[in-house]
Amino acid sequence: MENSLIFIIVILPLVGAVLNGTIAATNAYRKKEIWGEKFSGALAFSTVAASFILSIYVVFVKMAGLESISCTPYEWLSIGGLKLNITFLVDHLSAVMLLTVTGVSAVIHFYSIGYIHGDESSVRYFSFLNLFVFAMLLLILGDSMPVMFVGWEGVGLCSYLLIGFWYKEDEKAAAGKKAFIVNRIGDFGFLLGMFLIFANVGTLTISGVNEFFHLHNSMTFFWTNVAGICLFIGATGKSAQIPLYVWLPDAMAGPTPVSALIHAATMVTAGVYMVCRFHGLYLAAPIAMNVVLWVGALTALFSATIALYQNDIKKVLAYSTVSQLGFMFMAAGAGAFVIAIFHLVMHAFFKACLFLGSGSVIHGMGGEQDIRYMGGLKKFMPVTYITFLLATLAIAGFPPFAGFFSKDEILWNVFASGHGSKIVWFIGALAALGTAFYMFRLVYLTFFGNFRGTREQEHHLHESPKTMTVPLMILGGLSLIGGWIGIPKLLSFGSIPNYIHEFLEPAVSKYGHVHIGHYSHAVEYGLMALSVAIAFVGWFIARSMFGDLKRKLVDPDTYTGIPRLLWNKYFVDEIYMKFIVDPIKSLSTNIFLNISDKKIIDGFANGSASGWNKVAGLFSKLQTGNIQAYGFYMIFGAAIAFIFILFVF
Amino acid sequence: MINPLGDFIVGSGGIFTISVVLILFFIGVATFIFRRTLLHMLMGVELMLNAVNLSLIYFSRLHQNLDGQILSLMIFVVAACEVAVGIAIIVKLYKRTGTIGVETYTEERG
Repeated sequence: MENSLIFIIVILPLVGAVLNGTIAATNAYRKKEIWGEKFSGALAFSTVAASFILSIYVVFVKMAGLESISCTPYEWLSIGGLKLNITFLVDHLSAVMLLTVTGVSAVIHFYSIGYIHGDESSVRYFSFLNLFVFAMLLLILGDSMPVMFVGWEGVGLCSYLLIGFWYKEDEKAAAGKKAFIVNRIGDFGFLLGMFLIFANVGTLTISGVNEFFHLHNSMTFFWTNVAGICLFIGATGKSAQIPLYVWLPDAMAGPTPVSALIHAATMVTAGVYMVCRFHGLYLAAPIAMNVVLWVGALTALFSATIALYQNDIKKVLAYSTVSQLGFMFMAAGAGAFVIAIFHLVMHAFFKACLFLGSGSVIHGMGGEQDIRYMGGLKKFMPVTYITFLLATLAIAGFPPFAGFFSKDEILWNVFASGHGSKIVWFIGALAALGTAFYMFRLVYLTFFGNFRGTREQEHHLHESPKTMTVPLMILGGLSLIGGWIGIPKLLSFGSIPNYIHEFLEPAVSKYGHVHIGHYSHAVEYGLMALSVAIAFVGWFIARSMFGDLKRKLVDPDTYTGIPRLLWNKYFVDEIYMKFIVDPIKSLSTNIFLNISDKKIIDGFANGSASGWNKVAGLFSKLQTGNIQAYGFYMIFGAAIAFIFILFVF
Repeated sequence: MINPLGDFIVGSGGIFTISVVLILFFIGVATFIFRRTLLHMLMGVELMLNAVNLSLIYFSRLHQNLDGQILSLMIFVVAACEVAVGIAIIVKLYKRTGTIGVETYTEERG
């Protein structure tokens, strides 16, 4: 097998998952811990870390100078004209994802060792986490839609398992179910898109699909766009965009490292990656591109406004994630696939850092998540504070932090690209302002002012252990310097190469170029200055409102008007409940359960059973119980057989 | 035609032996079906079995090979065992219920 290293990268986390799963099952069966969490944590971490190191080797040594390398460990299907192999493809696009996912996963696995310490089912946790990495790698490296889809479903499953990790609490189990069901709706769209493409294109490999749409698109304009929108529906489910974003805030019920890994850094970006992967299709479908652009922009603004009034530290970050994903889709919709992936990677760094920081805060607060009862944690948790601040500066878009370069370029591309629009740029700028504000509100309420919790909590406050602070430092550092791989020419004057552009451009411009409008450098500088100004304005408003807060915060239940609307998240959950969930429930009970199931299906089953009973009752008359009657039947039968043989043959 | 009697019994005129076999067999069948005591029924079964034995020996002689005769010897052995078991069961039934009339035993009515 050629390039079997790629196969090893993918399979290592699965090995870890299976071993840890076996240990967890054995422990549960014997009702005592034989192989403790230390061993399984080390195992889980080392498999992912090994994957990361191998990925570095594969990307920088094996792939150096090549466009892509692949490995086919297994031939899956061969039906008619369809030949389907399980092929892992590392090209420049998947290489970036591969490094990000394995790298961030390794860091978060390490953090998890400290975080999950003492939990009774920590082995199970590590098993799920490893399984997730495996599924994610399938998604990233699969070179055909079905393999990608297996990974796509696999990460959904692991997400469900990990959100409901503490399944004994009803609320958390329900959050897991919600995530799974909402994702199923999106997956249905993905499947439809896949069928549509297969019916018209005849192949399912990614390069085949892209080439088809680029070179000899024989699908009509209408159906091309429908296919693009169907796939994007899948992306809205997985990547939490309007209208399917509702599961992500609830998903915060899971353990915090899971929120960091799955619901911020990796899984939720799968939709963005998928759109970039099929850029050949999307460039041939301008309406679908526009849908991506607008949905991304509206989601970015919508969830940024919700985040303004949330009080749960993880909920704020969750809505922020939804908003940032919206930014990525804006970039993809404007045709700036490089920037979408660039922002994806930067977001993985700073959002993972923020979530892990919030995990550290929650750990120190003894499980308290409400920022109204925090404050002044700066002096108790200095490492957490500094790394959290670094990541906040990055997400708010202060130069020279990671988020500045990517977010600025997104806004610029939306402004200038032929697929973009000025209105969308304005929406994006508003969302960026909101981002800066709610992030600094979070920082001020959590780390500044005086402590507002109970005396007991204050006594308990402490900095987290090394296993938790080291990952924070790594990710905080990356939030600071990570963006330097993508410094625009405008700022470096060509002295520093724009690595991410040079690396990704060939992979995503193979199937058509995007027209970028001509504007003078002055406009570009002006917009850049504007995005810096937006970040500063957001920070300033937050500081004037919440800096050194001494008073108690307003009780959210007394909100009226717009704050009340935002605090209740625009009542979207309630609307979905009333107009979608409840009608479906009553339809299910009244028609599907009571009529079609109980009457028709059960009636048919029971009716056929009793019918056969009656028929059998007729024949049972023959069984008199008299052995001589049986003897007579036997002789009679033998005679008939005899006559038959004698006269018929 | 040196031995007319032998020819009558074995040769192309084997009609006599076949007739004996059939008569024996159907006496057995009739006994099994119509006699009301288990002991008689068992005898009927034995009669049928012996009719079959006789036909085996007859055809063995006709085809000039010994397989049939060996088989009939084996059937004797098996029949002896079967009778031993059958009679033991009948004795047990009699001790339990005081009758060996077959119409008593109708537990298997459908």
